[in-house]
Amino acid sequence: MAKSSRIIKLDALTRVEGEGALYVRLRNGMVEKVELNIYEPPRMFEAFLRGRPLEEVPDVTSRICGICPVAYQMSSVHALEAALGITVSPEIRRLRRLIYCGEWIESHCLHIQLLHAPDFLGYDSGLEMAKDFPDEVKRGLQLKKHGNRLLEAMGGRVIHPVSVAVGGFYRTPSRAAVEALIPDFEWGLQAAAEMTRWVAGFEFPDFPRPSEMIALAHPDEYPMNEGQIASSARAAVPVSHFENEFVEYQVPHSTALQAVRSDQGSCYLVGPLSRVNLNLDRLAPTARRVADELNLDWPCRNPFQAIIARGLEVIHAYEEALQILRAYQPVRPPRMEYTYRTGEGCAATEAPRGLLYHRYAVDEAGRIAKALIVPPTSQNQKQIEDDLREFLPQILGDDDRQTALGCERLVRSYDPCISCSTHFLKLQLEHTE
Amino acid sequence: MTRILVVGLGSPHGDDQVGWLVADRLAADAGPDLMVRRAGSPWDLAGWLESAERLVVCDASEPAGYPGRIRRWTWPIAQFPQRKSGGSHDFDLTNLLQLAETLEQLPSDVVLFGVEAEACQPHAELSAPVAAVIPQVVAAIRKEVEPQIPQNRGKSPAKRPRPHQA
Repeated sequence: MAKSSRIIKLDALTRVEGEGALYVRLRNGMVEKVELNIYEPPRMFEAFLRGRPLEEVPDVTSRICGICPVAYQMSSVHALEAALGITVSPEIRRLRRLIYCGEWIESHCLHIQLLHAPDFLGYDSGLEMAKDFPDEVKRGLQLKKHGNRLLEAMGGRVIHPVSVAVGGFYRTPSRAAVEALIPDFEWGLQAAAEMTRWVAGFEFPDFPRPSEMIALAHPDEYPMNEGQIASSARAAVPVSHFENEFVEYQVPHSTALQAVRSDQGSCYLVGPLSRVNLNLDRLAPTARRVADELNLDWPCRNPFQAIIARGLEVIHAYEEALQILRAYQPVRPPRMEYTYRTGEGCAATEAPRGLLYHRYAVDEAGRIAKALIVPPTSQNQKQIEDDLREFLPQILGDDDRQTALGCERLVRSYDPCISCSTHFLKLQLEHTE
Repeated sequence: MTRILVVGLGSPHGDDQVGWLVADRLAADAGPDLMVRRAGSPWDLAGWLESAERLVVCDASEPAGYPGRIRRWTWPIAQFPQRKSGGSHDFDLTNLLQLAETLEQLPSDVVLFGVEAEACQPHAELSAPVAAVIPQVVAAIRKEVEPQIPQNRGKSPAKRPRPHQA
């Protein structure tokens, strides 16, 4: 029998943040090669931060992404505070969790509602879906809007908030401004639970994966800014061990670095599914109650069901935010004092898409000497490619376009932020003989 | 009395500031029936539309060789291509207005003013051709909303400008 090959290409991934392409080569109907091509230009943030005053780092790194700027601010300030030996007050610590709640809410609700849910209901876009599910879309947009309002109240503005600072905040809102959010968050808590029950009722492809799941874990709280690096396959390690445990490397087909386990070269998964699986018992009560009522087998290993994990995290974020809002008192001073010293520090915080690691070296004049930023989407790239390789046999058919759509749907499950990973999916399927 | 929302959509980058600057000049006209807002993203509008019966948006339009050219459209706009959005970074004003319309949240009367940009470089100054037409755009929007300006209540509205030309 003559050998046959086939190339399937997607020129631009749709409904993902940023621009990427997918190349698949089949030989005799078997998957020979899968490449997630990131072709957004590299951002070079780590390079141009060198020599800059350390106070600029939160504002500069927040420009890496318009959807998760707070994540970059959080990882950067915690890493710089580690370098300078700063310990923030419990009140500042709590407000940092509050602003992170705002970002999780707006990022997750946007993804659930407009980018991912359409896949499960057979629509090409959130706009098409809105015609038949107006109440659900309105609910999701309202939930997102509240996340934006919280970001604006805490951060000074929605896109690239300006109040996050090394040592705390440049300013904190008045009690009146915070109290004004409470009614919306009380509504939002129940609405988030309804949204999560709705997405949990979707029909999901049967695709459990044996991925190693990685996320922060903390003994007392659902992880955001602090904790150890927990794994579904190994013992937890301190964040300071990140660069021993994981290694970044360049691949020819992507402008974004990929990351694997240092010792085995194996891929791993970060993000909401990993977080929920590793921290289920630390979800806030309402989120935990909904997780239990869904009758899922935890740990859940199906990447398509990450939409449920995002829903649970939205519930958690609303519940934790309400708790903080109700008890809020303006923090004085909003920012800890510090003095410059030569030092190095690292930190990992949980961006909406997963663990985000920063490390900085600073000099005696308070300037950045070195910077390292490892985004979650970079870390997930290899896992996405491996999962695609395993998923393709389930969806391969005669119609390359349908195969490409199936690949896109899987990629969307990871909520990749390609804009981040380059410090829409073009699928190229090559059939070879 | 009709409640009107005027939005200047923009960013701090070059001629993309024009929407904001127009909104700033109109801010003094705001009153109980006229809201004037700056927006940094189309998503900002999503939270404001429900309380409005008319919407006027001013934004920079893509350079096409005629910097400072002012154009006016009424929604729906056949010339604006139906575009599938990528992620939220690609969700533009057209997508937002389409979504609002689908959700029955879009005011029945929507007017867009586009001011053609020369360039929108990061944190650059406004270009001279665009700066020169700001008073003209402000005047055109004022004519759109004249009855709602508090000091003009009781006066007859001026004739509306012809479509596609301000």
